[in-house]
Amino acid sequence: MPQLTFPISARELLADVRVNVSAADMAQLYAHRRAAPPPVVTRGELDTGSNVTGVSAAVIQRLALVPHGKGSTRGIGGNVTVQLYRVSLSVFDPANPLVPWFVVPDLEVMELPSSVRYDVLIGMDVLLECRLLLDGPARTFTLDY
Amino acid sequence: MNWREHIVHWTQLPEDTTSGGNATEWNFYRREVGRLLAEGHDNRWALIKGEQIVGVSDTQDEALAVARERYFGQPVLVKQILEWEPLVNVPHRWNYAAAHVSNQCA
Repeated sequence: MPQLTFPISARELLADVRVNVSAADMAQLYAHRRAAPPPVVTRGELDTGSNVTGVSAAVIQRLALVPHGKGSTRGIGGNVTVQLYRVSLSVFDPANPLVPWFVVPDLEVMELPSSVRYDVLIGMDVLLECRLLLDGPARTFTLDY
Repeated sequence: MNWREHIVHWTQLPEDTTSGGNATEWNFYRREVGRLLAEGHDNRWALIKGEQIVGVSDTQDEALAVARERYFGQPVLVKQILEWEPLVNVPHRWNYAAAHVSNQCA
């Protein structure tokens, strides 16, 4: 079973991620002989308090994503709508390129509020596809997949 | 924890007051969801473009396939028709605030 191990820094679980258009949309782009935008490589925070993975507006813009859905969430003062998009998400370790990536090829994600510091918030929908091992004393966490 | 804090009845879905993305489709869905439920489409998936229901499918994959085939690169709404809508949970420290406050439910 492949695994990726990352250090815990500033009490946050941060991993290297690559976001791209979803596999199904990529196939559609190839079928139409259209160029795919380059993937976005950035850092993502694992957050078990979020049930849906999110990406920032900047990433959405760079990948030229269009919304296919919409959801509701609690905002300050009432419910608000959130845009939903489809992407592929990969978690990888740039220091260990031979380790297979943890890939979710077609994932529904929400647009993150601007208050989020990171481009990607990895939620429970992704974490339920792997095993998350948190080693507090060693200040590391590992994903088994 | 009150499980009802994590769902919302279809009558309480917030309006999207922005003009971008799939706001038109969402607000149209809000108007039509009661009728769709009454017609027995609970749990099925609607594909909406503009103010038109393109189709209702049994699965999300079917609806997305039609959306990609007919409206690739355009905003659409592929939405499960539900009486009780699950809420997207965002941790309170990242809560939607000023930037999205214009979308609040009245």
